[in-house]
Amino acid sequence: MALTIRNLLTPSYSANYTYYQWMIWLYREIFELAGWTETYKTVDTAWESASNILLTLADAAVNSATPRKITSATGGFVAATHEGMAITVKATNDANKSIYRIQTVEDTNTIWIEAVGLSSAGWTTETGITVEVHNCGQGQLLTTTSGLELVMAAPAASGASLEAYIKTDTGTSVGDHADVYALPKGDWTTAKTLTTGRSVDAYYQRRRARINVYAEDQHILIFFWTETSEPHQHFWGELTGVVTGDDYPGFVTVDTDWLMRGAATGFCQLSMLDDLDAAISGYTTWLAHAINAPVLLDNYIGRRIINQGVAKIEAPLVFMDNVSTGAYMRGTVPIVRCTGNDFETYRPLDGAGAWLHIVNGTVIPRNGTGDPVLITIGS
Amino acid sequence: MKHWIRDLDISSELYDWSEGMPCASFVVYHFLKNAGWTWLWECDGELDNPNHCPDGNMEDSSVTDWTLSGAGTRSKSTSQIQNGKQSLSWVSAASETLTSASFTNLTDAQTYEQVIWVYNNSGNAFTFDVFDGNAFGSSTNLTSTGGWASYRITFTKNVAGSAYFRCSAPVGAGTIYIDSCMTFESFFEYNTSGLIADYTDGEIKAANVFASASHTFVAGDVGRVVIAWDGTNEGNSGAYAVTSVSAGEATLEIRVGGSETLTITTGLTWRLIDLSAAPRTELTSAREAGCGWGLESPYSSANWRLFYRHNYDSGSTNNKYIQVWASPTDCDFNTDDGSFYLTDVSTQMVDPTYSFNLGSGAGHILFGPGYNDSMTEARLYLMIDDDSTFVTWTLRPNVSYNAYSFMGFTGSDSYHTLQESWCLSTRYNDTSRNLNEIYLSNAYTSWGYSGLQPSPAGTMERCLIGVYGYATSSVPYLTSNRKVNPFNSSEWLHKPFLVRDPFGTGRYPAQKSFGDQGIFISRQQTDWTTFDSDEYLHLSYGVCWEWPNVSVVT
Repeated sequence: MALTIRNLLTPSYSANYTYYQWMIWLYREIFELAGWTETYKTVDTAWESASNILLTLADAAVNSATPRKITSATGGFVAATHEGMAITVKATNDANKSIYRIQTVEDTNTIWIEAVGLSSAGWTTETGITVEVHNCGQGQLLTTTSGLELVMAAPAASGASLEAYIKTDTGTSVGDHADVYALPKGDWTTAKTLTTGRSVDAYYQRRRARINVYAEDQHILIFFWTETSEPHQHFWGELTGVVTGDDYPGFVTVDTDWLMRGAATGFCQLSMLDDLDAAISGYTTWLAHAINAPVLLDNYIGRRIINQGVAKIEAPLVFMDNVSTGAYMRGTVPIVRCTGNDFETYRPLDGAGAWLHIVNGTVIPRNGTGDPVLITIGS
Repeated sequence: MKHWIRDLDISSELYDWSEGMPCASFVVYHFLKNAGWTWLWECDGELDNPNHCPDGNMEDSSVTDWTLSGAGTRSKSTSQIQNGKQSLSWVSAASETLTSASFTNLTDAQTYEQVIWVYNNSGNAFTFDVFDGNAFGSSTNLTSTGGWASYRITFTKNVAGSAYFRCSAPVGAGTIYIDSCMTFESFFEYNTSGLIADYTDGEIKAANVFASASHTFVAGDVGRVVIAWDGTNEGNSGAYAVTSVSAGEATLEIRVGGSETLTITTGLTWRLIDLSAAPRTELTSAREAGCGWGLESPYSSANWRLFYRHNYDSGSTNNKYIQVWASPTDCDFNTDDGSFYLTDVSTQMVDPTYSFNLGSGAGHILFGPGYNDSMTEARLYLMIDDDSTFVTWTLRPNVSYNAYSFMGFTGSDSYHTLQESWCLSTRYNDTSRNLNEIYLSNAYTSWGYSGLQPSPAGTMERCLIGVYGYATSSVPYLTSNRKVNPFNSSEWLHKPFLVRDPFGTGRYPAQKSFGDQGIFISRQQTDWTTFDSDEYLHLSYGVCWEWPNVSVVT
């Protein structure tokens, strides 16, 4: 089961320093749409507030003949309050399932979504779809005074029990942010074996975001632009290709640099558990030349792994931190790939290819050749 | 299936400044030949032109080196060519002879080989013999085969005069073509003191007992080396010293540290060689010092070619490295010096610094430690596969300066044709002593820093061996805390990469992983130890080989 969300522009909240209060509400919506289930959340009326969920319908329909158009016999769409809001389409078909921004309310039974959120391949005809119109959690902010918590469990596609854990951390208004963790053993209700927490502080004062998601099985990558900054990402998943006995290779990583060959911090640093269930970092590896690794990383191969016009991509192996409990090759990062770091940012790697270059040589799956081009925050 | 030379001890062949490399070349030659490679070329230590036969390659525009006794005609031809751009066309008169110019720089009383290639579609048999300086020896028929065929005569230079060869036409006359005439002292294929036996009926009769109906082992064979090729039983192929002889059978030193044994079988192709007759690059023998050989792989998809020539510097303090050049195809070569013509892709295609052993160390070389006061031991390890798609070998001394080389195909993929997957990766152009070639570094003395790999256009491009790195400047296999994967207690390892145009100076950047060549990068472990139930051998600095589940002598 795969989920792609493209270019979803949230409403713009009226004030700074509240971003993390409504963003987590939206994260829960995304996780659920990707098949994750809720393990725990702090009691807060904002989660289900009618101020946030503006309309729920169970009979929405899409038709391949009318891309961008969503209809409902029950209806209830209102232009004044729903245009510019988001609609979660809980479709059965992956081509339809996503969260879109409503561009136009034609009438009470018909809306049109933004083209930048839908593949040019359009809809696959489907009826009886549950949809939610919402404002991304901005109608009633989550309460974060004592540290709001959200724990979501990955779909057990491979018997995995990975849990994603998000906790707000309030300090000064400038320092307010959310920390993210992984629970590779999925033991929130018992031992709570956590990885090291990671945070992206830089977006704390933002008021809106442009969201993109790629989720597949127990892996989910969420990345977003805010008004002034490069795309941040939150990435939970499990390494693939691990050895027998390595039952909990879950990880979380965050950052803005997207550098899988970074300097031991940032996106290349995966927060994981070791064989003794202690927190440890793993690092994505990159093509190097022996003791003189940078030669092939930054100056040459990093930008030149091209063969006959085709970009070469690599699934990055993960090497565990050079500590007494680490220093071994463990497995491969799912979903993303590495390539040369000088390709055009936010664009398909090859015209007809299946990969989308984000930045600094990190590529993600492309939602077919009709995948909308990534746009930044925009106006 | 892979085949190995597993820890052949050649310590007895160490000589000042040679450190076993010439002997290693000797063993590698015989191992490959026994594995089905085709002999192409040899030379001895003659310096500027190691082919003693003037215009032997037939590439001179004139025919003045070829003399007719009668009214026939000879001319250079481009219509029938064995090698290069020309051959000698001889439209013979009845019973006419064609003689070569006198051979140059022969040593009296020394034995030489005369090889010629002849295309005879005349319907008549010509003959071929050699004048050794005093008299003609026995002749060989040059039969009408309708294709190119090679003929060889062994002769010993007589002090009385100059030597040359002669072809004689029959009464019926006709037209034949002659090409690739090579006159040389053989230190490899035709070195009868070095190659003692060459048969196809080898038997593994017991754990480490070898026998052959064609050769009765005698006491004098002790210390010699049995080279065996077994295409069925993994681990049987190898180069094994004879430690004792009993009832005509040889007991082999199979160099295992445990109880493993060879698999009992019959019908092995095998050779018996004498390392004491190997070219040692002895300090006083310029005649011997610059010898070399060329072989063609039996790989059916690409008969790639490999040439070695030993450094001819025979002085007492000159390094005795081996120069290597190769082609991923059956590229034509100059029989005078073994160099490839630029008619097809080869390591000489883009590398004008090759000097063909003019003593400068230019080009790709197999070197090893060079001279080292403390070196008293040298052991040879080699690995190839069934089809000889590649050759990789290392010379392990008792000091930490290991030789290492890889040459051959790494397997095609969606971005690389078979030819593009080929590489030659050895030390390059630097003859500094006491350096570890096996250590992957950014030095020309590293085996992985200065290789050559074909491009899609058929040119040769720089390539190097890539590994995984992390955090911009670290490599996992050398980290200080390196350890096994704790979840299953097994070693972790990955295949090395072949990186073409690594510095962005060419037009064909590419990257591929090695294929089924049995070479891996693991964490650095104790040198020369096996792991994972002897499935792998760690050589040094993280370079590992697939290994036939046998232990090693420490």
